[in-house]
Amino acid sequence: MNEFVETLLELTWHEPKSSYDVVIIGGGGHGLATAYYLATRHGITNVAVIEADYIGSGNSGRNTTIIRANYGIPESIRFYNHSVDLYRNLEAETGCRIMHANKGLIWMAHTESGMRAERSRVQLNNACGVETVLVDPIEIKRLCPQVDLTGGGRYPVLGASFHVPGSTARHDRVVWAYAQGAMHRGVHVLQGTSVTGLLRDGDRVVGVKTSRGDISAGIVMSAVGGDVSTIAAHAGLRLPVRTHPLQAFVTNGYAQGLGPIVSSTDLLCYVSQTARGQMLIGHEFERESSYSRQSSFQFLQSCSLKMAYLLPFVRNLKILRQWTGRCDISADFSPIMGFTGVEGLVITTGWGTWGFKGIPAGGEQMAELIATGRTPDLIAPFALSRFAADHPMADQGSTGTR
Amino acid sequence: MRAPDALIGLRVVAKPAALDAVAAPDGRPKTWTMLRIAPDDAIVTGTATLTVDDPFAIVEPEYAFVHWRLTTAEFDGIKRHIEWPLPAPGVLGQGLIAGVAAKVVIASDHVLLIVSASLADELMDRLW
Amino acid sequence: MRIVVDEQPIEYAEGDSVAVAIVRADQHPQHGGALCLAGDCGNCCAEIDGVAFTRTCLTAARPGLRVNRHPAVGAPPLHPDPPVNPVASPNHVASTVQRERADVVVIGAGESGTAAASAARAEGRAVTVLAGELGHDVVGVYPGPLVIVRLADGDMLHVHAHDVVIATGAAELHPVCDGNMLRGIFTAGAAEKLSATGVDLGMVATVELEQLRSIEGSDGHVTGVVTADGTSTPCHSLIVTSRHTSPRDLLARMVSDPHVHAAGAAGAHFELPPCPTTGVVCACSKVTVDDLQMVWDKGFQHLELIKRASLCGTGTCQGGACMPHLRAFVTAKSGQAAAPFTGRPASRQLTIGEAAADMHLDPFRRTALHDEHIALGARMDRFGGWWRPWNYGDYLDEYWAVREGVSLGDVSTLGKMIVSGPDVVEALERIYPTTIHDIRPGRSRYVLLLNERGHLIDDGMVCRETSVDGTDRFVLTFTSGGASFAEAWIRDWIESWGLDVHVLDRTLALSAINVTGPLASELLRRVGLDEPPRFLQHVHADVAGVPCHVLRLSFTGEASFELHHPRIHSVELWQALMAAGSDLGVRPHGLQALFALRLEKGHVIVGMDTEMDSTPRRLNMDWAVKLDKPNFIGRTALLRTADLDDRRRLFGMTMDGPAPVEGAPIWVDGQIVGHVTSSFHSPGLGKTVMLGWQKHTPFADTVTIDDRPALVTHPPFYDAEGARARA
Repeated sequence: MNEFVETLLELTWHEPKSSYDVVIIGGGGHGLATAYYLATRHGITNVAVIEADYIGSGNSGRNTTIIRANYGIPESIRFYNHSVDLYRNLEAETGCRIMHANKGLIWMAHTESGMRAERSRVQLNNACGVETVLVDPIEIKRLCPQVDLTGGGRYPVLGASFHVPGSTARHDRVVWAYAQGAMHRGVHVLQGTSVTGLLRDGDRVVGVKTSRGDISAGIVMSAVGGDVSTIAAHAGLRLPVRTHPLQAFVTNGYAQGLGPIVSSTDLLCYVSQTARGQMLIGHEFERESSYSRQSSFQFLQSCSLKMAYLLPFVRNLKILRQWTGRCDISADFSPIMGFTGVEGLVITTGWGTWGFKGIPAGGEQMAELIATGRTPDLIAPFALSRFAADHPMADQGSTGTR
Repeated sequence: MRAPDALIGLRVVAKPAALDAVAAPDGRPKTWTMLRIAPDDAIVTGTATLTVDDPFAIVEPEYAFVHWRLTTAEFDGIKRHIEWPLPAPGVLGQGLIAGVAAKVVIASDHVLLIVSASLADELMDRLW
Repeated sequence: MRIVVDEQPIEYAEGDSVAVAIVRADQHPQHGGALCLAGDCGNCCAEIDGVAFTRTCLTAARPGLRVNRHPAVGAPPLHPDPPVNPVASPNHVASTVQRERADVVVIGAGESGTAAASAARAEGRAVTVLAGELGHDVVGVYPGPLVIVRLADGDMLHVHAHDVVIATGAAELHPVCDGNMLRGIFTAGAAEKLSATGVDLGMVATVELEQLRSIEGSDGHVTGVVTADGTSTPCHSLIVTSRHTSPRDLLARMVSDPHVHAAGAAGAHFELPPCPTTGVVCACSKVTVDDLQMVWDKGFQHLELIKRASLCGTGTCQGGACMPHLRAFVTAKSGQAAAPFTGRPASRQLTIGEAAADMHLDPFRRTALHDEHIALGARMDRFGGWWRPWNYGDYLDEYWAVREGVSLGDVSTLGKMIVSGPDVVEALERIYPTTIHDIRPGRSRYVLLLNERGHLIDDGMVCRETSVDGTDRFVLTFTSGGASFAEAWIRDWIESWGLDVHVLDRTLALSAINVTGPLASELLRRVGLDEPPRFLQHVHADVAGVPCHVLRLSFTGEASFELHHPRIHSVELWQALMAAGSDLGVRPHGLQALFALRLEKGHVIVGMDTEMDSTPRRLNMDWAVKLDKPNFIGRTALLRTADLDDRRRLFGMTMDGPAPVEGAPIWVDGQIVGHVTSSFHSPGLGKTVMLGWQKHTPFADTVTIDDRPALVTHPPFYDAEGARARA
């Protein structure tokens, strides 16, 4: 047995019922976390989570497992900081080993405009109670001796912001922890079940049509990633969301050696070393929108080169696996959470490349919204209605995208 | 590698038909060379003036590019940096060479390699 | 001839792979497990010349080759960097890439590969055959299709193909039973190879995989084998044969492309082996049958969930050895045939260095004055895709030169475009939110560029040329960073409207020098510009003998003349201006001084002070938008939002004391209402001036920044009447 075989968790499966108080479409992190918090915080357990494939098969099982709150607008900093706090306590709360590791995140800049962005990030993070400090090249070298401060002679490192709470956790285990916690309290998780439509009573959504029959629901939540536009269309809803592929790759496992998470604001790429010793590497999402999950060699080439510039030791590491997820990107690069204007349908989407970070807070807040019928203050700025009201939440610069 | 030379010529933007007429003047021998960048856009070398049958044509001296006249052997040495199919002889080919936007024209005994002057140093660093 | 394994020399024979050499010495390249010597499993991987997870069975032995076995427990070490010479090896990458094109690439030179190649050749197609015995290590097939190959000399080969035929055959099965991680176990194919090279395997037992019950051993090495009927046979080496095989279809599973086909055994249907009951299933990740059973019992009852919960199949060989057994396990437990998971570039892994070979990131452009700046001591910075001078030492000296004397700025990077044609006024009226038709020849106007959402994406000038032959022509300028986008934007719109307009981008053909300061006119007179244009006029004139398009405007707040001129004459023009103005104290200024100077005038920089959703109203720039025009890009959005409650606005602010950091939060009543976008402690004004966002209403007149009060004002902070710019 290797030390990473899951030994604690136990998943319990059920046959579908014809009716639930709450039906959640999408058995990824957000859907399962919402079910978990409905059960644990609000005592609502007559809940089904419907998953087309297997739990965590979408972006929850394809992300690069980084947890951070170093965003560029106060609303996002506060939301993700709450998520950072919930993640920190998740092992204690659920008894599951999610392999949470606080490593710190170095976000390096190679130009004056990059430095300007990092100075700004530090200012606003601290004002919102998030510990992010500006570090000079000497300090960067102390935090991560492997960094080549010349950037391969092409991208000299001028400085960085260091986000102290930056962490990682094993993505699958987060999904399973929430799934187990929900299942053990009576939530039904239905794998291999596709949602093919929504049941309507007039304008109101009253359930879902599935590949295993109709299921009625007091309220339906979409926590779908990648295909959210299709689900929304069943309710006559158009969302300001486009889907873009996002690629990543991982090397074989090596002895531990890379301490912090290392990222570059100018090159838009990042790396962390997993508990298994693998280097987990990614960069920004693809410019062209697409539903494709094909991996490209061009991505591997450019991302590998960026990494070789920043951390020359990686060039002798062997690439183990490469994969692609699908990101729903909203018009202002911030997530969309809350009521939709369609009775009986609430939504959590637009999670782009930052869905994993938002799982605990997103689930907790959506559960509160469903249980109380009111939008909690923390997610009020992220309502879908912000687009029609022209109150956008633009934060492109902090999303690791450009 | 030696430094490149400025590409001296005219840049002409005009209706495609007007450019076609310039490219193949009827009866008269052609004294210039046209590099057709797009249907309505060309670089013309070998002449200081040009008559184009389009009242709105934009005809300006071109300063943006430099070029190397490479021997076939020199060009063979950089071919591996070109991922796209090479153009037929005499036809302008455009694409990335070592990640830099460039143009090539293959002649019988030499190859013209053309690049924006602003990127010439970078291309030299990458190729040679 | 010798190689060095774990610091100990080992003799090898001519033609040996590293794995064969090690077995010849009665050792094992790792710490145990069956060897296939065909590149399918991960059981022979070791660190070779500093690269861990290298298949010793595919690496030829050569004198002095250094092999380090991976540790028995834990992962191989990360090595610190060898010294890097960024000049000699800017990419930090040693290998180079060869590129080829082919109609058909056939991977594999066995029976089915040879047949596929002959068939394609018979159709007159150009065929490239890639095979291990030809020195090709095919590491991946990508969309395109693009085939990535490692060559024997360490170089890479990228082959673009119309069709790819994967004819990689079938792999032998590895035994899964108690004792299967001992040393001394070989597949039949491996044993054949070893005997052909004269390796003595000692006392050998040969057992069919289906008949295998357990393997016995001591000190980690095989000592005997027990078969299904309970018979125990002592041996030194065990050869495992099987009537089952598994397709080597990993490359085919990497990409879903109608032009990638599997042929022969690699594409054939295979019968799964019996469900394993004991032993190690996944040697790479050390997963036993008991582990699979445990996660199954805990509810992980989907092949992907089992993989993720146990890590079975996630190691070096990516399921190459364990996949048939894992599928057999899941199929037996669930009663449903389990499909394999997606193939990845796997059994022939690339290093990151090999993946990056001959790759380049976006280049950065240099202006014609690059070397002049370096000679003047400039610190160059990358900005908007260009190398630009950040400062030449002390940016405040540069600031004073502009305010009190004359200074040169290299603004060659500005976007410049000529547009002409019968529909040119109509096109510009639709592109820009301000009126264009009333710009008189020889005059220019500041313009915003909006997208369909009414958000500011760029700004610049529209200059109407004096017509020589009755045709209308304009010169447009754009920001340095926005130029390439703006060109595509304008072309796309003109084409989609079907308007008759010619477009010529002049950004790279023309350089530009900004001559700015109260003595700018004087300097220009000295170099032959007797009648410099008046504010917002533009003329074509020779300056120091160089033909220039002279635009009179002002970004710095002082009289400014942009000299647009042929790139090839930049250095002579720059040097003439520097020489003619030496007694005036002329000196160049960089971006740092420019940002400070324009801030005193309250000019926004798109992308620095603006956000991706900044409308003109939010920037107090409604004056540059004529909503009563019939149509322009963004008008619909601006009309829709005009009556909505708007909660954000960019303001000017002043305060005493040092400038807050750009990005500093702006507080009102203990709440963050926005942040500072630009700040500068102005020595000329004796106070700090700022631009920044308030995103809460009602907008406050006084705010707190850095625990100090700041007054909210409307810029400009300097020369509000614009007298100096017009002087």
